[in-house]
Amino acid sequence: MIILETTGLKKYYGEGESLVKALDGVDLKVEQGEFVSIIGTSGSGKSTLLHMLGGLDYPTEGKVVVDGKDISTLKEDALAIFRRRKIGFVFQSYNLVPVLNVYENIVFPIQLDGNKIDEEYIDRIIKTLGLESKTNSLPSQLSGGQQQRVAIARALAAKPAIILADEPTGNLDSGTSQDVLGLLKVTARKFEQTIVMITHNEEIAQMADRMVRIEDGKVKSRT
Amino acid sequence: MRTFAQEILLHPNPADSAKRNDESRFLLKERNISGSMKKVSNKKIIRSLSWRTMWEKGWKNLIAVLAIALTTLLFTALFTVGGSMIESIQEATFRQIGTSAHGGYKYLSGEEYEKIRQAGGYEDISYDIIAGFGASPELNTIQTEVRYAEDKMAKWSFSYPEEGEMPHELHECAASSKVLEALGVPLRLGEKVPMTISTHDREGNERKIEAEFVLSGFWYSNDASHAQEFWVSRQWLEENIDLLEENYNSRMNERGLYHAEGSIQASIWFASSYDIDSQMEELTERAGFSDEEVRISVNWAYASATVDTVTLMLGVGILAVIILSGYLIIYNIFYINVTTDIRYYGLLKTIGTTGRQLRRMVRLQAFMLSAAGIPLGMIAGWFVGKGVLPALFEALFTDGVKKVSLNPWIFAGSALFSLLVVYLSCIRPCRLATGISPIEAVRYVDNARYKKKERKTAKVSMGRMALANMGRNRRKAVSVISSLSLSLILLSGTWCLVNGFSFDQYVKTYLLTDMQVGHFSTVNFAADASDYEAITPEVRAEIEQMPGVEQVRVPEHKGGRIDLSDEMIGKLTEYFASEEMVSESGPWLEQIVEQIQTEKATNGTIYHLGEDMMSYLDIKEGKFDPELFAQGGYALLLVNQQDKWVRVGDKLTAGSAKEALPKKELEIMAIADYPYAISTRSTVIGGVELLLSEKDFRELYDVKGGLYACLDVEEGREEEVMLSLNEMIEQEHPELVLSTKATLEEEFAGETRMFSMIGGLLSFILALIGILNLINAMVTSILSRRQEFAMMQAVGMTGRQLEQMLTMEGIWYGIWTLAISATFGNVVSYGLIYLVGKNMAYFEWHFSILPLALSVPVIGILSVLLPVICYHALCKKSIIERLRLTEV
Repeated sequence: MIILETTGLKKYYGEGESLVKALDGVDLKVEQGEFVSIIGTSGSGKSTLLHMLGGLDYPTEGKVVVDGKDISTLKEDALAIFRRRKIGFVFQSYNLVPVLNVYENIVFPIQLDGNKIDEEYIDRIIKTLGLESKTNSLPSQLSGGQQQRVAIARALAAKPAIILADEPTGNLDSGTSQDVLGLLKVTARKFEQTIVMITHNEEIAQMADRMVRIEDGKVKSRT
Repeated sequence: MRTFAQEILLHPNPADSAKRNDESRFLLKERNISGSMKKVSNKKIIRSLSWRTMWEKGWKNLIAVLAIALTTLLFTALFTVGGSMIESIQEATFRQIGTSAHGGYKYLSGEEYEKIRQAGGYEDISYDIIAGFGASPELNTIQTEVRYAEDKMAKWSFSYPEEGEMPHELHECAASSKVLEALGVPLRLGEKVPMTISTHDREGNERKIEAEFVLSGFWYSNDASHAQEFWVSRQWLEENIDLLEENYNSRMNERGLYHAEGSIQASIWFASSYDIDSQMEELTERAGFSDEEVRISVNWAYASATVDTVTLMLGVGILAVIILSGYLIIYNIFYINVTTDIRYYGLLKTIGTTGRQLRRMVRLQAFMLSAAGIPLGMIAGWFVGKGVLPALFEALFTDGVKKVSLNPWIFAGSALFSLLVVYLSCIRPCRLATGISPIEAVRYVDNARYKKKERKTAKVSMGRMALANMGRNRRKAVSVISSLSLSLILLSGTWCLVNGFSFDQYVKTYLLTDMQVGHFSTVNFAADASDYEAITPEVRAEIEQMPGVEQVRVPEHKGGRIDLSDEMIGKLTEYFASEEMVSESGPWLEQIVEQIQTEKATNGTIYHLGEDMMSYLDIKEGKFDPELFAQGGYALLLVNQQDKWVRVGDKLTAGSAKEALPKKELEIMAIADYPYAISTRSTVIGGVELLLSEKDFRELYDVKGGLYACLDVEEGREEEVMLSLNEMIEQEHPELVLSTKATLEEEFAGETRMFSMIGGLLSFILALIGILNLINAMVTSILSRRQEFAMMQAVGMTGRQLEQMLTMEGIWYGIWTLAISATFGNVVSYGLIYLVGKNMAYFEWHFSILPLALSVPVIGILSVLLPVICYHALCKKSIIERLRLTEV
């Protein structure tokens, strides 16, 4: 089953001579449960693509369909609600809320939605990611790897349709990167999650099931 | 260099900080190299760096400038009010002393005066020459000095003609209205003035001169000075009086001649009133005299413009409040500024800027902002001083303070105090900027005070998150909350004070019966000495005949001398020798006590009440036996007077050898409280107030009237009686005033208006400062959390939820402010009110939560509105743009 699909996705910035074609007609399909990495150099348009997929920005042209819903036409607050239900984000710089503890950070999107927390499910995620002893800690007390694990837990918590990871290991050393990524992969499998990860690091990208290379706003090759 | 500044202006957001920092590094290096080569200090680069750092903030500086301006405005207003009060007190003292000059010499010969005049080193000098004293029988009760004076001298002595001019022709004269009225001369220029002058010739023989003068000028005398002036022309003086030609002191010592006629009194102004004693001594020395040769006088009004303790404490209290509120906001602004720029300071430190230099940078920015804020505040202060205060003074002070003093010193002082506040406010932010390690600075997040390591898990609600966010920077929150609370506390304090003034108490203080008619001096303290017999038997009879008047009672008063035995002088000396008494009353007291000691007599006010009014007395000490009292030989000591050197059982002698009146020794039977409403409403330091029996009073004094007529009026006919009384006052007795509940109501409103206006104005400006502080704290905290908000939105927080959270933050500020004002604040305002109100007979403490309750909606609206406005400003940038900031 296809969980994510883009057709003719374009994003242009500026106009006339200063027109920048960040995305120039991207067609992408992602299957349920797949782990896809999108690789590209700086300026290739990979971040813009991720933003489009996550409903953080509107495309100039084309469609983004997530879980059967075209999100390119949604209004801003509707997009926010869509994001917290369907998308789990993992950012490079962890982006935890500094005044909330680990557990609160993890369940934050669920609570924003006013939903009841599936305690058992959350406990399993916490155990899988090895965060049992840290649930009451505040983010400032955690190492980078731990913070990123909290971010992954948060992304999984709302049982989203898809997890979008933006250079999730960019701020981590290589050992920790391997650990975190391994955990991401294992957890996704375990909880049957789909992952789209962008990175500029070939080695990291190769840990995915499938690699999509992007250059000058266009998809170049698929493996 | 300009491009750098422009660059900064073009990129006011931290996203460009990396680029900017690179350039500033370059800039620093370049400057440092050239600096070290030329051995120039690095102050210049620091200065230009400070300037640019500040300039870059753009509109954000506005709040700092406004805060400094408001603080300066408050200082200016306070100093203007204070200065005006001190000036008017000083002027009243000058009038009592008789001159405003800094110092002078008494009893000089013409030759001696010339030497002093030529010695120089002073600002101005002038003189008068004593001709003698007024000896016409009509002037028995008025001490009249007959002198020649230069115009300047007359002005300095507050005796310069308001109509006409000083005498120039032989027989011309100028005199005060008081003297002319006593002599029965109409106040018209050119009138003939018959005058008997008592003088002494060169050998000290007394001589009387009968002369007729022509009035060339007069002035209205309505002050408390003892002596009145009667100016004659120089020519008349020279023709009739022997001028002093030798040294007064040596003539006195060698020939025992004390008289001062023909001697010169010189008055001198120096450039400043600082240490007049030494300035006078130096002048004496320059003129070639020793201290023994001449008689120096120093105007002590300059040394001791004493304000009463309550006013002084109130002033100091308000000063402290202004300093505190100024500190709270300016400190907060700079602290936030440094926190926001901490990475920048860290970077500067990395590339070799020393802590001292960083401190200098922060302080320099503060002073640059002061350079804009202080003049702005002074201009606003000038407008307030010129426009608002005169109207305020008009309403507040029925007598005395009328002029608004707009002295340059006031502005200098305000500027200085504002700078002091700015300097104090900088101390901690400077420490923050210098204390941070470069590595820390780069990772610094705005949660310096958030030391919590853990927190219990609870349901995440916008309210709880908002509270937690406030706790991230406690220092900032405390400053904003204190700042807002300060104005609320003051507001509720003012409210309670104004509402605590009890009109009933006020009426009880100023009115004994239904209505009261009195001499105008009882309500106008600037008036001439009271006429204790203003209510003559005729006036009394007229009032008694008025329809509706049930009863008229007239308490009687008489000013008289009281002779003191050696024993009593001992008690007086002992009492006034205490340190406390001397420091409170100033040099006046010493002079008065000295005078009482030499004369063995003091001034007294002798009261007499009819039997039907004795019940108004409140016996405080001793036992009052009406029958024994009526037999004579006893007196009641009245304690309107604060001096407590006379006790029950002491013996005093009413009547003095100097007055051609009988004398009688009286024993103090008891000490009683006399109703203020029918007292003379003035006190005499070292004086005694006694109440005598009918028998003794009639025996000793010949009093035909009273100061007040106390009326009992038939119920329902008050209006009618008021009309008849007003008609009588208007047509026959303009010197009388009527006090009724209605007239008192007006006075009462005037008195309470003062407090509500000053308190209201102060709380308003403090509220402005508090709100400014809140705005600044809100705006900066929202700006510094841009990325955080973007991230929360990215994980699915809607705009509405974010808005809710920010609103909750504002509401928490409001809740804390109200909570503190309602608890701690009420304790403080109670203390404050107690201090101000305790000395007022008509003050009653009322607790009220109303002002706080009324401010709830205001605070509510503000705390909801401000964050919403800030949020919408924030929304202009998309989530991605804001998210990207993190990647820098």
